[in-house]
Amino acid sequence: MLATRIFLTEECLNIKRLLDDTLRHAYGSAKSEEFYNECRARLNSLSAQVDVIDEANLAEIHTLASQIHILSDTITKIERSHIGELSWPFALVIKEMALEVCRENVAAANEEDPLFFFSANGGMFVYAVSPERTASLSRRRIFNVVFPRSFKYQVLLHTILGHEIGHVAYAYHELKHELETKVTTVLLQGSPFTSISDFRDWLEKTYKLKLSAPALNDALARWRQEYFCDLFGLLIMGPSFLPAYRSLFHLLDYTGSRYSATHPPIMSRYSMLQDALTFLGWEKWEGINHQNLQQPLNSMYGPMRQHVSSIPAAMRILAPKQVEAATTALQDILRRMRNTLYIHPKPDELSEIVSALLEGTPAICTKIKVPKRGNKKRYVANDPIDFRHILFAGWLAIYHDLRDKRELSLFKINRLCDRSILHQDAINTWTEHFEKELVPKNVGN
Amino acid sequence: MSVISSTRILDLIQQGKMYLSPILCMEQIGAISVDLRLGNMALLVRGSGTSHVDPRAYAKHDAHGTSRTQRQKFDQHEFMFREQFLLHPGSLALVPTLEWIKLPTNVKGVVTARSCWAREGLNIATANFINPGYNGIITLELSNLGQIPIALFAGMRIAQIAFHDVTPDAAGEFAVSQFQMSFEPRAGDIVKHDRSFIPFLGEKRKK
Repeated sequence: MLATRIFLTEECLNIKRLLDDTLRHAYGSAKSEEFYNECRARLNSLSAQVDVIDEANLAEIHTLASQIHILSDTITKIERSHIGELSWPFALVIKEMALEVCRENVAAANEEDPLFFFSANGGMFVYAVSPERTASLSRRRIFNVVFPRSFKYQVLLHTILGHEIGHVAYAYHELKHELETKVTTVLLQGSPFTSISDFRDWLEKTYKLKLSAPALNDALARWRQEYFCDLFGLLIMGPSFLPAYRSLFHLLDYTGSRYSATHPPIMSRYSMLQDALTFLGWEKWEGINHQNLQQPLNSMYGPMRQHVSSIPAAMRILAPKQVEAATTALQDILRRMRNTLYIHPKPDELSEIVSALLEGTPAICTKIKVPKRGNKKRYVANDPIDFRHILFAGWLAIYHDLRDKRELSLFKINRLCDRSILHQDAINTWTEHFEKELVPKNVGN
Repeated sequence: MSVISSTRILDLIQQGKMYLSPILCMEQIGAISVDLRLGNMALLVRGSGTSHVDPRAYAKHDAHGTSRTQRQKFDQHEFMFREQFLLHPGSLALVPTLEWIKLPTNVKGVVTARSCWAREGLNIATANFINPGYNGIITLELSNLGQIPIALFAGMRIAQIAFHDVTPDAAGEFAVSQFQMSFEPRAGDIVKHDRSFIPFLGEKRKK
């Protein structure tokens, strides 16, 4: 048997070789440098600890070996991260949003901005953001955002990642504390998920289940966080979160009431989301007079409402009043974080996007305009569109009566939405770097 | 069949009769053409993938063989904005335009290289005709005819499209393009409607 120090020293050298191998792949020079430097810094730190390890201190060896294992795992995942396997325009907007959620807490924790990398795994239910709980080895955390490989262009389903960004928010101690006290506690007030004893009684009554104290504690903490993340996902992704949620989770557990140690029963979560949706007024949208919107809204939400009405009382666990209060509290917190809170578009704007998709074209549509004053030379205008409005319009296009007549498959609608997000990225890149040089002086209203 | 001027191109877009987006600046619109930008993907012919272009591979009614032949032929690269893509001398790359285009049924498009790029050795292999009524991205067959590699970036203006009127009675009479509603470049079916002439692999000769 190799001495522990020799073995771990060798493994650190192996990881160094592995890290260098990641540079064989084309990530783009700027993209790889930050990851390389961060992993290299961690590896140097671990190597230094291995050099002075006390062979008799088994606990320390175990901790160190575990950290080396995690670093090896992270670098391997980074090596396998290829943008050709996922919708990178969507990945970029998700990354921006997650960074905004982290931003104020990063400063408070004396850390640098976290690094996000994207990878694709097999299976339909693999959506995840794996956040590092601490930045112990350095001052920078690495988050892995996982997409299902077969859903490369299924951007309408990717709204599920809104839930996962909730977990990112929970990874920061200060923010977690605020979210727990102002949102989660309010959301769950009056439910069996406020104390260990209530939770234990409810599990025994509902599932005839008896858990050990540690398992009970762990399950309760996880369930509380999951309820929060559902609400978080809805508020940052908007109305398209729910149809994506239902499409996927219905397949995950068709009964909707199955026990899981990590997630609350789906029916109870779904019922909570429907209450939040009603409170937000997104399902009926008072005052709109667009057939283009009303028909698909009814077609989309009608069956969902019906589904919720069939949920047994035992699974309607969270009180609608608590859901409303928690929604308001979370909205207040999200307003602090730039561009994270979903804002409903004007009906005319949304109707225009739906029409573009039903015409078989992307939602971003350059307009030719005439200035209201000055010379009448026409100019091009690209009004920015929030990617969440594109996704909402995408779902409405899917439920629109005209979709079949125009032979627009689900795949085509998804790809048009993906293309729209890409076009917006092009416009943003142009605006950020070049537009000031070329915009004509007479442009404007 | 007249060439459409920039004034009418702007009219067609303004009136919603033609979709061409995104146009990022007016400088993209010339007197009789609109510049097209490089999209974010390239299919590069893979030297080790196939020994030669064989029409018989397209004629095979074999899901694995046909699909494999087409997939093996190209390496697919995707690149974000402000990331470099190198086109080496002698290479052929199929790339999409950034722009999506939807033509009216009485207008056709003709895509050519931009002369400033042609002077650097970057050429578009063919002058693409875009059928009236076409809807989708345009695939460009880029080749580097120069002696040194060319660095390309998504979003650069590398081609241009001119538009021509088509007599109204011709509109709607043509076959729909096999590339209609393309989202990305792909190999075409080079034996479509010509299979009668191709002895596909494994076929027994009729006596």
